[in-house]
Amino acid sequence: MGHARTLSISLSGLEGTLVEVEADVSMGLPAFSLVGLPDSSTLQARERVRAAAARSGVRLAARRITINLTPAWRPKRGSGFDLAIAMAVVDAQGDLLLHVPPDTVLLGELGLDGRLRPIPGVLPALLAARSLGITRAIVPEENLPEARLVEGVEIDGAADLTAVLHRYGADVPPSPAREPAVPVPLEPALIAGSGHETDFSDVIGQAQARRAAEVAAAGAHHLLLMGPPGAGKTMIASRLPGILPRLGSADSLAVSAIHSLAGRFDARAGLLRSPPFENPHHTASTAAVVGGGAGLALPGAISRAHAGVLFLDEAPEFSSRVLEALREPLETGDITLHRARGVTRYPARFQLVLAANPCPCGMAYGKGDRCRCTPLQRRRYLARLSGPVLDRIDMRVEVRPVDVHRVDAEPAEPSAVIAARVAAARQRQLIRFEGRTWTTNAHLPGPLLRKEFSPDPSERRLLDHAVAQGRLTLRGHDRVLRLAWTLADLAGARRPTAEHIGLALTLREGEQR
Amino acid sequence: MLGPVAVPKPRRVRDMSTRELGQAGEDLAAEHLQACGWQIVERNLHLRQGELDIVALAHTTLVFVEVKTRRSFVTGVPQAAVTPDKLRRLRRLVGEYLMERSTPHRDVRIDVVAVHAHLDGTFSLEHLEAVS
Repeated sequence: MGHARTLSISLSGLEGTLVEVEADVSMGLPAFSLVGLPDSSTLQARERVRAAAARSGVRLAARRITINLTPAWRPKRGSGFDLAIAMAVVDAQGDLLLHVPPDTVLLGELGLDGRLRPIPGVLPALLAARSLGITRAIVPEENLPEARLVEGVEIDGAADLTAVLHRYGADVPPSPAREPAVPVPLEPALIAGSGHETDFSDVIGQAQARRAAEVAAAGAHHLLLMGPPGAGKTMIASRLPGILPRLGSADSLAVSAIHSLAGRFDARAGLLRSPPFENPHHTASTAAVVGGGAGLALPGAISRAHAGVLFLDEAPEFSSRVLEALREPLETGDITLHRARGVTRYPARFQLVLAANPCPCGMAYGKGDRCRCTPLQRRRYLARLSGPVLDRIDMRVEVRPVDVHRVDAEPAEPSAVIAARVAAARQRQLIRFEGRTWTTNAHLPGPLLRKEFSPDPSERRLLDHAVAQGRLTLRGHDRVLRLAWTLADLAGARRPTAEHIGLALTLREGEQR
Repeated sequence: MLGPVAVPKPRRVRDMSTRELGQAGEDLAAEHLQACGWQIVERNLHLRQGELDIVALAHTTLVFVEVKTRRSFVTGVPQAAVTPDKLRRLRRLVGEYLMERSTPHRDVRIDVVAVHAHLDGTFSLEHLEAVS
């Protein structure tokens, strides 16, 4: 009987806080209460801890057991507190000689047989622990590869509760032989580099759209592909990650942490280095796309696409709420989700690629004489992509049906060749923006575009004309300039010239509605 | 001629019926409370809504004691049999007792005495104070 405490980490979004797990065992009717705002899965730790402890040779006393997760006002979620709770209770019961050092973070879910099961979010939890000055942690064995990615924290894996008890000096029987847990196969899509076996050499024709994809990749610009069904919009978009440069170390850590939180990170292949590609179906709910869920919000597709590509196929079919919800993250590069139980912020600096048919029947390209839609239908269809969203898109490219007679004439370039040009253009941007908070043209702040990064007045006559005519908003003006910088980078030019600006204008206005 | 006197042999724990076992546990609990200096006020008091095992006076506090006896822990420890539902019923009984049978008391409490009857005839006892 007595009192004991252990440490664990509670995640709210990607931000972790240190949670002190206090256990009090005292006289009274047998009860096991868990306080400190647990959610249902945290509360069910009582049943898991009771069974797991019994299987590991420690019977929980028939006493009044109280667990408090402090800070008690902060909502806790998930099953990752099981290990910390179990160790605190066993320590507080005091019938085993045991010393849990007060500076070690314990993470893991317990199975009823005492086995330690992996939990999502180990990477962000340990990153938070490190920033809070924690130097030691115990995690489930299966999370060990992921946990080891965090440098500077001494991390050990444990297979079961018995192993942890032994480690801290408790004299309990050795763990019984168990059937190994069902092995989880490495998800092919999660193995670094293998996710993009698709290659641009598969794309037949579509020189203009390919060029647009290259420019989009080089400057992290948003892209709208518009064309009839079957022209290759989806093919081109899904090949975009293959020509993007690999993630830098900061991005790589952030992307891995988000995916870990979403339970979709397999650390056996190391940190995620290739840019993520998310293509939610058009029936996706707002919560699925921007993040959400009861209690505290989980990351959505836009956060999982952080530093990568968010591809919305059949964009006008998405509910308008979903599309409008993209406006804020498109500007700020992150998303703040408010729920009754707390506010969560996730990074969401994604590159948006939209694909759309020109009309409901899909035939309104060229002269549009094969289109069977009424003008009203066409207008309604395209109006679903609202002005504010479209205005944030840098490039609108028409993807025409492939002309089969001209296909064989030009052999398609493989992704590797395009990727080399993209990498060179990104390198120029890195050097130009050294010491700044942004690294790509797409994120160049507007005010600077009109001062430091403004092209010569003689070169931008065309652009000024477009603004004066009212064909271009001021936001559009900035976006054209950013695009022109990327075109200049791809061409190896020092500053954008009239030619680049003209091309950028065409790319932006490609599809006149 | 004096015939053999039938001396009631103390019955073995194993052979006791549940009722006898409960009675033995309650006797033991009452002895224990008296040994602690408590004054037993009532035993097995039947009220309209049920039965109070022991009512005792500990100094100035009126204590209602629920006794639970078990031979084995197959179904859990005896104190675990006092469920929240059982406690609710006890509180109702206490209310009835205070309203109809007793002078007003300032301090009132519900205790549980858990008795474990070992098969070798010995008993062990645990007294939980203020459970509700």
